[in-house]
Amino acid sequence: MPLRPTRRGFLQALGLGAGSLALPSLGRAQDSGAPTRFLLFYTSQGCVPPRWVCDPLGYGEDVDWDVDWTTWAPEDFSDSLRPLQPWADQVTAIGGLGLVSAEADGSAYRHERMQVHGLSGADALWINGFPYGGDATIDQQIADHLARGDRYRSLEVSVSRGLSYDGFGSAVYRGPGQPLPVIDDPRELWDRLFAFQSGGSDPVLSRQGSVLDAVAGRFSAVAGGLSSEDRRKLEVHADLVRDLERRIVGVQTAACGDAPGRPDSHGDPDLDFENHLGLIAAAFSCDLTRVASIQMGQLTMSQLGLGAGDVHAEIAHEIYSNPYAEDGMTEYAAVHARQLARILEVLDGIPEGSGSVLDNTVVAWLPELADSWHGMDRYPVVVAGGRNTRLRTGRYLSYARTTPYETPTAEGSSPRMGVPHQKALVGLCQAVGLPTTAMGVTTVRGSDGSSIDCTGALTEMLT
Amino acid sequence: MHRPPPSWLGRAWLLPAAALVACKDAVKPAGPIDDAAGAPALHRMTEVQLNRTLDDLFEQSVDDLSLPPEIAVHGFSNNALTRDASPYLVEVLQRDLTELTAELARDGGTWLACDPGGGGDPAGCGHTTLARLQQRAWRRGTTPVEQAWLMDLFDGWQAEVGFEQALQLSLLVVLQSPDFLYLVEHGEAAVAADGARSLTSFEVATRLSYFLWDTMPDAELFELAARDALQDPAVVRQQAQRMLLDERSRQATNELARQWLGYDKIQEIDPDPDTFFEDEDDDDSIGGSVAELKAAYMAEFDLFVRHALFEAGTLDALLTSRVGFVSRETAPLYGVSLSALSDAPSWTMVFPTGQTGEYNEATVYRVDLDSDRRAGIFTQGAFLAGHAHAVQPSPVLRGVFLRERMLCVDSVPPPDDVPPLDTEDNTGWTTNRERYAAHTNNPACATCHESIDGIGFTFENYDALGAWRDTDNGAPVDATGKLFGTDVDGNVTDAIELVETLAASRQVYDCAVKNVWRYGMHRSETGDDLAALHALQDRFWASGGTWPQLLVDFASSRAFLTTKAGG
Repeated sequence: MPLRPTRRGFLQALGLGAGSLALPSLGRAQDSGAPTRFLLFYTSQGCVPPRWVCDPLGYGEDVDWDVDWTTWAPEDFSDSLRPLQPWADQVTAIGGLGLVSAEADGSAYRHERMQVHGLSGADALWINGFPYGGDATIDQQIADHLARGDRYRSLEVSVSRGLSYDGFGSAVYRGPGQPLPVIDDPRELWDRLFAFQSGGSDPVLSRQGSVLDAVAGRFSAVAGGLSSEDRRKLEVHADLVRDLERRIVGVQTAACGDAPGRPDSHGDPDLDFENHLGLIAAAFSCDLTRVASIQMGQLTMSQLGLGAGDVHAEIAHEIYSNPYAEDGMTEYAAVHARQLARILEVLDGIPEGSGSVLDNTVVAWLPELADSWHGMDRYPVVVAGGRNTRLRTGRYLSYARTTPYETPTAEGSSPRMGVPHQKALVGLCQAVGLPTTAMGVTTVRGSDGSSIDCTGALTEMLT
Repeated sequence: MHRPPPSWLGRAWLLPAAALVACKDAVKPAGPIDDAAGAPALHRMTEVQLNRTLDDLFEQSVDDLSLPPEIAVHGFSNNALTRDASPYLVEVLQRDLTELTAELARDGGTWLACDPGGGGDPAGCGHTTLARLQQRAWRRGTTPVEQAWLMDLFDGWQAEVGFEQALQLSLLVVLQSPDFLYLVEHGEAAVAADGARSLTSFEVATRLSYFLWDTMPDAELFELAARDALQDPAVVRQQAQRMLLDERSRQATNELARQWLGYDKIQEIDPDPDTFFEDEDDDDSIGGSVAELKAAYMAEFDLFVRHALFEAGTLDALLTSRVGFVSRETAPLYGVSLSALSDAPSWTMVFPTGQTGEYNEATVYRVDLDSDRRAGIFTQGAFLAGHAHAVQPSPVLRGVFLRERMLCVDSVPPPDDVPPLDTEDNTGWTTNRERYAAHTNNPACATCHESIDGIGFTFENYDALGAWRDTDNGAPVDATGKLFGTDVDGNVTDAIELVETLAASRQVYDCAVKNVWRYGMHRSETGDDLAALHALQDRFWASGGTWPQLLVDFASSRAFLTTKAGG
């Protein structure tokens, strides 16, 4: 039987050295009508496929398979995914996806192309030869449906400054070419959520609605005569002012009880992760937001228990040729698997209705790359939680290479890739109740001239 | 909000009046550049611009706002492409401006026409104050309708909650309006044959002040704008020259240079403790040493840019000046003895650490560096350490950066089918150079890496902290290189010869102008910009690369003074 930390265990964990952590007070979540939520856990680099795949039954990679992995022993799990074994009934791992559309979208910039396609399913927006996000990322598409207009539409946080490449940025996009800013300092996230003052009897705070109403009127006043692009920019801003007007009223009605303590540090990756997670859990539990993303920056050699050096420059690309690099990047995935387990533990520790916040939250672990050799095939996806949604958990799914699109591999090349990953993105959308049938690219012309269908959901990940 | 310490402590910067001779038309121009630019991009004030503007608007140093980070394009985080407003931005503006205006309304100041309580005629004081403030904040003459709208809001709030709160609420309206946050440009009605329209005089004043000063126009610009005198390029030129005598122009060029030349990279360095700090035994001590190093390099960057682009005043100085600004911590890395610092002019500067509300201080001394080993900004710590890994420097990062930002050659990233480095052969190399050379030996990589590494290898005399080294891993350093695919192709013996070669390259001068263009226009250039851009590049080359003159030529060009907005 899988061992899951008990609620009592969770409370004990809170009591032990949790003084500086921002964790929600328990028992706060609503009793009924709990909202559906989505949490994106986005990590840099990719996996080492032979060390990620779990295949204790020996099916191999040439057939599709869909098995119950909740009864497996720890040794049946791969080195990368073993930390998830205690949570197997709440988790589904999906192997054998391919970033087919990314392979088809231009050349070079493989990191950036996989970032764009992995999160949005859409082609990049190529500007001055550089691929920016070409459409809203999955968390933002889901926020379009799940978010309350009077609360925080979504929260974007990073650890170790995230992983986007062109400057200090974000992999999460609101729309084409519209990256969303990210909060790296947990104290700043706390300020955003719990230092927000509005309403009450204060003469100034209670009139912010009128102020913003007046401000919103100015946007149309200045827009006349400007180009359509500039008018669009002003409309985006005006809409956000209107949203803030509603949020100022709506946040007052959130039943958050005592706010969690303000974190007291920033810069330690492990502590920042804990604090961000605690604050997101708090915001979920009192419905301040329903969508959040955590962008994990590159892990350091010391986090992998290795010596000096730079992960990207020295081991990431060498997973197929250097056993030291293979072990290092396997541990890289395992570190994130342990963090995912911790996410599940925290969300499951907050009661909601007859279950927990986790039951109403779909968590998706999407990595930046398929493998860290820059390969685009074997894109590893893990989804979890959401017992009260359509997400089907407790499974290990594997897909054979059936898509006729040529892709470079360490051995040379493969004439076929796995199932287009868009189907997993669509599956996630459908799991949380969206009517989505396609994410971004709908068809790709195959290497053999055939038309590759990227639409529809992976039905095996849905109940 | 946290009040950062002033950035410039210690001695005041000596205004190099002599250098401004250079921009007094030492090379007589043939008149304003009269090509128009392509379609403009609506610009929202950057965080730096917003904070400086608030200081000027309220005639006092106010607490800085900390806005969400921007996503850079070609290094420039002011590029309109990725600067759509976000929910968090709008929220931060509302939250922090509410806090700021509460303090302002409570404490008053020269911007307020009466005592903070409202004095004997609160309504009159409110109207007088807001009428002036609205015009200055929106940087134009406001219409009677706009004035009446604001006064009505104020009067209504005053009746409900009293003077101080009504004033605060009215300030919040003014400061969150697009008229304040965006540099809105409608232009004059008349359309020229090429589709361009002159900016209004107020719009010219605003463009000038945000380009040259990173803040709002001063009284003189406003006065000229009110007389509609800024339609005359000669007057604009005079104003640009005047503005370059002001400290604010140094700050603005520092900001441009920071983005152009990768200043942010220094914030990200993470040197390996065992390699560089083996004498220090605890993490706090090492962290302190790294923080001191970063602060010293950041101080040097800003001071050197001022020295090169204003005091010396040329692109050549930026690339080859032997002046350095070293701290007690960085002096040994540059081979400068501590005794040389005792009589040297010094500056103490304070920098955010990247941690909210935390700052590091550095005191740096102006010295002459060893002319055989150091020349210009690319042989200084900010660049060298900022383009290195934890243990070894990265010839690839160094080479790619110089090609992109100095030669304007967009790097072609590795192709899709890069074979992995054959690590079995890794026993064959001794030096960092030999290890990287494996790229070039591989035919799939050779073409691109020949041009990248040919530049990057010349910096092998500088380790991952920027210190000079004659040997690497026990073997002599080979710093020879080759420029390839440029207008100054050929072999070079080391980084000194490389930067001196670049300093004679027309391609480098043209690239500098292109970067100034991207920064000043808040967008990347398009085909419609090329005539104006080429004219500006010709002018810069003819001037011998005089920086102040480039700024004046650009600011008084027709491209800068017209708009093709609309449609």
